[in-house]
Amino acid sequence: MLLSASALWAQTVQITGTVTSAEDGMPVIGASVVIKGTTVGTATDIEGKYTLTVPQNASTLVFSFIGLKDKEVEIAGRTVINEVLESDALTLDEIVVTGLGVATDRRKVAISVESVSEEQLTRVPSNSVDGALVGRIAGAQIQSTSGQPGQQANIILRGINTLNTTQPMILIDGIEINTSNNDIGVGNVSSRLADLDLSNIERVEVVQGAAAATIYGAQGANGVIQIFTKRGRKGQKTDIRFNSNFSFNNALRGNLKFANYHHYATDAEGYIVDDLGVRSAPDPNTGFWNLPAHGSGANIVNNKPFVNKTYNHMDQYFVENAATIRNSLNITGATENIDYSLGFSQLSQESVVHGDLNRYNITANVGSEIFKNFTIRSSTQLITSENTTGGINNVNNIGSGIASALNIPCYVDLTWEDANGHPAVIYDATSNSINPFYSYMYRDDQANVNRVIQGIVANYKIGKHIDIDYKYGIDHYRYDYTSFIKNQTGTPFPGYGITPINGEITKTSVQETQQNSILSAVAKFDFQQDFSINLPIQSTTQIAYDWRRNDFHEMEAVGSGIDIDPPHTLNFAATTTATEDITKFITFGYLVNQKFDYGNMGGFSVGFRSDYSSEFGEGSKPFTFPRADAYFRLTEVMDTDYLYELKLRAAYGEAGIQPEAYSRLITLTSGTLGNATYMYLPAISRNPLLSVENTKEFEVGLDYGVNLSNSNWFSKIYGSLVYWTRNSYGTIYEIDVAPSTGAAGLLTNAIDLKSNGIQLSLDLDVVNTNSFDWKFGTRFSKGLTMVDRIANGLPIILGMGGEGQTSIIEGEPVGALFGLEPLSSLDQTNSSGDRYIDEADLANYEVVEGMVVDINTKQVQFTTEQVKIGDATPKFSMSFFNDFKLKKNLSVSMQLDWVHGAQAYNQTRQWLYRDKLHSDFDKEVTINGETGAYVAFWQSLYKTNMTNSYFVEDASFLRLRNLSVSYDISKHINSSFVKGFIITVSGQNLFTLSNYSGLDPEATGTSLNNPLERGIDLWSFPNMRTISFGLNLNF
Amino acid sequence: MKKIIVFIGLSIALLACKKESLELINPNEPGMESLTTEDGIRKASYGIYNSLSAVQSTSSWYYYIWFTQWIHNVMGDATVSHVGNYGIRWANQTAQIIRPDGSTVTPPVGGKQHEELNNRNTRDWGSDNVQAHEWFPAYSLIGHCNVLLDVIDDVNFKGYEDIVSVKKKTYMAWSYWWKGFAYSRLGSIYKQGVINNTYGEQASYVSQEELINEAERNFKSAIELLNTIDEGDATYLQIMSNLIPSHFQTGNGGVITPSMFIRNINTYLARNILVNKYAADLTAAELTEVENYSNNGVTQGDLIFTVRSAASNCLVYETAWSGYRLNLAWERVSERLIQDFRPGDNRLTRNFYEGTLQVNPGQRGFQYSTRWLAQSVDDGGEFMSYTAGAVEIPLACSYEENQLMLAEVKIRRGEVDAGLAHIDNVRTYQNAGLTDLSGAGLTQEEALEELRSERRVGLFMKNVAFYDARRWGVLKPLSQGGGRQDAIVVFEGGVPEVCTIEYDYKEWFDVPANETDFNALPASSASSANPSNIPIY
Repeated sequence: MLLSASALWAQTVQITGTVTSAEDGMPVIGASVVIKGTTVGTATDIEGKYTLTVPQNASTLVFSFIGLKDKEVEIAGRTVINEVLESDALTLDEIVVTGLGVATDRRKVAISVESVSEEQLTRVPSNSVDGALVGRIAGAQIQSTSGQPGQQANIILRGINTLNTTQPMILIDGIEINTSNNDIGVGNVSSRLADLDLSNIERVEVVQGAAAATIYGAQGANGVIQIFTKRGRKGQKTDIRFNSNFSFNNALRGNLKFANYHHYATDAEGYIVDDLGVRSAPDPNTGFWNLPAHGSGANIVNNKPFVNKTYNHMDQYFVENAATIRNSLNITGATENIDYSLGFSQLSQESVVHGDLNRYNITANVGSEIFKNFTIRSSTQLITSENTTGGINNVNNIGSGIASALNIPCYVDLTWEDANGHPAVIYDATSNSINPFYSYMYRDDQANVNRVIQGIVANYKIGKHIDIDYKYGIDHYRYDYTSFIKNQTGTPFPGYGITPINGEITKTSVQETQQNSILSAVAKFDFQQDFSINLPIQSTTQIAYDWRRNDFHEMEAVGSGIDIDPPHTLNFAATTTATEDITKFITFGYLVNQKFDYGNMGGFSVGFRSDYSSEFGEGSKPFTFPRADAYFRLTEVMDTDYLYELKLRAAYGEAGIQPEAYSRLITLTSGTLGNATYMYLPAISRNPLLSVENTKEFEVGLDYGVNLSNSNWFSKIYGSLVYWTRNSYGTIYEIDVAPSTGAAGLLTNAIDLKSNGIQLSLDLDVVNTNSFDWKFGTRFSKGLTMVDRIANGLPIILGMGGEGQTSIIEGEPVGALFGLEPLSSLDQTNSSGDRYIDEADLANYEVVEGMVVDINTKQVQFTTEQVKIGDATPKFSMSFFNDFKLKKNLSVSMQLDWVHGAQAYNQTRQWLYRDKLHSDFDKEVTINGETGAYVAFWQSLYKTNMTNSYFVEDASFLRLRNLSVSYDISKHINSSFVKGFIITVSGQNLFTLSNYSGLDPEATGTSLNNPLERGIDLWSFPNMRTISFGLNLNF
Repeated sequence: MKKIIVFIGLSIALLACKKESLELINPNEPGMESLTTEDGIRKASYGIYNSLSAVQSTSSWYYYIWFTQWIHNVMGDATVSHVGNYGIRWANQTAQIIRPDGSTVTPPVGGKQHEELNNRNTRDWGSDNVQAHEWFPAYSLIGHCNVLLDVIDDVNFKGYEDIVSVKKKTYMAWSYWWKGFAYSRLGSIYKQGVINNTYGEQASYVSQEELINEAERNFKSAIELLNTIDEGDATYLQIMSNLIPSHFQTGNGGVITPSMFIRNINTYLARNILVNKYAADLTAAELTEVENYSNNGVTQGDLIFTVRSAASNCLVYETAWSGYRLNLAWERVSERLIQDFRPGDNRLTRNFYEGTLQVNPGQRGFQYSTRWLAQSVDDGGEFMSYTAGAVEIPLACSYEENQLMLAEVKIRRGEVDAGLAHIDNVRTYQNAGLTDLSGAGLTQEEALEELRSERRVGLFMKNVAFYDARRWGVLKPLSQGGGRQDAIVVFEGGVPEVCTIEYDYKEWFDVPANETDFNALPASSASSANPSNIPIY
């Protein structure tokens, strides 16, 4: 109908003008100028100018631009119409890039792309990008599993599709960077993602699954996080921002409680005594205790108050008010042809136990239009850091400070020192656990990172249709880690200490270089303007060629037998050995994608990505991943003022993950014994038939925006709702084979996974007046991944005693916990239908606290077969945001995170049952009519550290992630020089509501980004409660 | 200018994408073809130690030297372990202790040893399945040797024909020896096993006896080859010096000559006959066979296969084996070992002392109670040290074991004094400081008791504690005449009592589920491995 109208137009008038932005007065490039009620229009040029021929009967022009408010203007006979457009930060109108390859108006995007603005990122004072994203991304599960400096959050974007790591691809301004995590002691990592500084980040975009990540091909299946750095805008005045933040950190202690009573033998005065009746006390020379006699039999009860002095080891172990200082200076601006953004930042973060992290970042982003339509941009990040917190905070109770601090009885003084001020190695001479303060004295860990990330972007626009873009990036880091165990032969406790007692220096040097080269060409045509076809169709064709190369080189030298006296170098080690590991990976491929948009109403695109890889050799065929998507904006056909956005969209895509380097080659592994090397066939056979893991995703979404009212209250609500489903085929994992063949396992495309989930985001303008502004937002995520198929149909065993997941089983979720269960009824049978308790023996058992107990031994009875006992996957997680602004000076923002239905295996608690230290031992139970805090009952639940359902707990929590109050005092300073002067006070993790009995329900997971080691609290390092004071100056 | 810049950019972008750049080579590891060079076969032959060091399955690690020594120690009640790690506490869970007053002490947790071990014989118990610990390393070793024997004809040895021949024979003898060793270990603990001569292939089950026969076949193949090599052959000695790790070439370890190698094998052949049946059931013919092998077995001064730790690049982790852990909570010297020392035995005072009292540790049972600690090598002991390399244990057989086999044959045959002379040899060799037994007028029964105690004491940490406990019938239930009547057990307050211990341990292990899940047992034998029929105690 609209089209036929054009035939009626006869006489025309030419209108010209300039469109500028109200915010900075700068010309708006590419703004749309359309005759109202038609699709006839044009776009402003590079100087913000436009020329439009309109029929004489046209009355109104509509000016619009992404991020700016639409404006309707009466022509009223004018031929020159200059317009100023105001900023409209809170509409859906913005540009997204990630997953599309072409900057696209969000209204015309069919896939889910979550973006987080600088303002949102910096609201929570965070030291890293991943930390700032917690709770912000609907659909994702981003979980901070350790409070130690330099650690990275666990990131799961839309379910699990590979079992190696869930780490997504990370891009900076379109270029892939390293996302490695280097070991910093066992169980701790030094994260390359955590290297990046937040102060120069303008925006982060996240695409979560294959439907969006297809364009990244055989590497993109875990999703993509793209970081956009700040850059100057042409003509912009110099903007200087200085930010300083000081915070105090204290470890969260949750609900962890220790027993107040004991059951040991005592003397007449009530002091604890050993088996020979001698009072237990530390030997003044060694600190070793003569251990208390704990007696034997079923009737011992934990009911004696301590006469001995007792100590709170958490008070003794955790440093109070560990300080973090962050300072950054960012200068952004532009001259005629050159724009620039320079950043300098410094972070100094103390661990709440030992050591600190110091990091310096220098960033520069400089662009220049060298000749018309040809621009070159260079972005640089220089990073240097030193982390001395590693090595002592891991998942076992020998090397881990937190484990040995918590896992000793309260009558032992953790800070005990001998007459010379030397800490004890441990209180129990038969234990190989190490007192943390002893570790601090005899162990030094130092990790240094030096890193350069350099990107070059050249962009050439040929005419108005073709845009050729070339990007090259190189990310090189060097990671030097020294783990130094001092010679302890001179300590007061010969033979005891951190092994090897005579000292060892391990120096690890990693050099990794990631290169990425992308050539892309985008051709855009408008059928009306370019082909004079009277249809409002825009065509976007994208062709890209992408090459990536990773070079990894690790050298490790171990020097054993170190002198007590310095210098402590490898040169002075009694024996030194060295090993190295070299990995090279090259992949290249091309992408073809074609998109058609019909005005603003709808559109679709189809394309594919095809990849070659060095994992498959030069003779291999490429792997091809197709994609397609479509959207339809119902708002364009609905005549409503209430609904300003209602878009239905759907997308399908495939992406992959390649096998690890060289895992398809049958090679011999080398080892060293004595002074010679040897070769052997690895017990897990390599598999030349390994293929790329393939994930296929389909998502359907609804984007909405509703004008609720014209009043100041509840004016607008907007957001999106997405349902996604994905299948991963041939996920690579090791499966068992009969050991008698000579091999113990085979690495193969073993597992198919099936996931689905829902993500929802909602933002609401609650109040919007001149003096008060309140915005509310929420993000919702729900997703579950099931094991659909295992190649040989048999369970895959992960391990016992420390890994609560224990198995991967067909038909069960990834992340399910398997283990034994206490018998719950006297007639319970096993899977073969046999009774656990013979009918003849029934009189010896009864059910206590829901568990079958032997009334003679008072011990809880267990099944002998492993069953599913829990699941680490939350039923859903949600975040709530409230942002208030009073009189434009005072801002209050808060973020509340809610994780519901996740279960955790509290193995820390289980360990505390071993030595009867947990507060549960004070609890009385009634067995066979007698009541008491029976030690035998409680300790039987320990079950020799076997994973069992008793220690599965609900780890749901509601956490006040952030509460911050800012006040801008620049209004009170009459200076034209100072544009902003904001003082912020904020608190992170101020409260947590949870029934979880450990330190921190969020800090569960023994291995970063390992989907199979989630929800396990094994001496997990808790997050911090932080109080921050910030100062933000803007000139 | 503009076009040039654009062109250069395009060229750089496209140049990188040559398919040749995808050529795949692992710079860290050699391919299978490397086995056919002389260096390659040397390194791969040296690689047999990897199977003994640490075999990593998909879910667990299996440390042969540490785990098997440990399990055999505790199941032979030479040491005790109450720790749950690797399921070890269940391996020495005694059925009951009968105190002098007639009261019985049963395990505070769990049931009898064989039930606890069977309950854990499923894959999901990982390395807590005690019955899997010896299976993985042994078959890894066999698989590795199968590959070595498979490629030996393709190896491009350098030198004249006779030198090439010695090289080939030496490497083949090496592989046959280790296959014989592995089948011996398997056949001495598992009821059934698999004989597999091709890497990667799956075979069906055979009996324990057939495993021992396969061990003998391999041992004899090795002897046959070694017989053709001159004692001082420089090529052989050069190869052997590369195959025995440098830090083992001290004490009783070193470059074993062809004749020593044969004697080591003969002692093992004797052991295989002796330890795999009840002592009472040994036939005269078997005794003669044992005697014949032992007469040609390890002599005093012969070098044997040994293990020592090292600060790095070691077969055992420096701190993870009995030689390090004997005094830690992990493994402690058993009261029942100490009580087997004769009064005045220097070896007791040299090697053990009363130290930190361990009573009913972790409330897991009194069988784990002990007063004893091992004296460090640094202080004149032999079995324990925190210093790398200080402790030596035999990997296979020893001179002492060979002597005591001769003693046993002779005493059982009635040649009591001749037999006791071999016990005296051992005591003298180990500097026990005891008076000679030979000629002291001992009865056969008394001599056998001396033999029993001497094997406990003289062969401590020499791989036979469990075999001996089994063949003497100690592991059988009391009702079948098993157990130990005069066992010292320490109770509260460190008070020792003379008790009766009923061990009732598994005498033979079942095939681990790690195998049976993929290589099903014949239906007739499957029932014994089914753990689900056993009720909880």
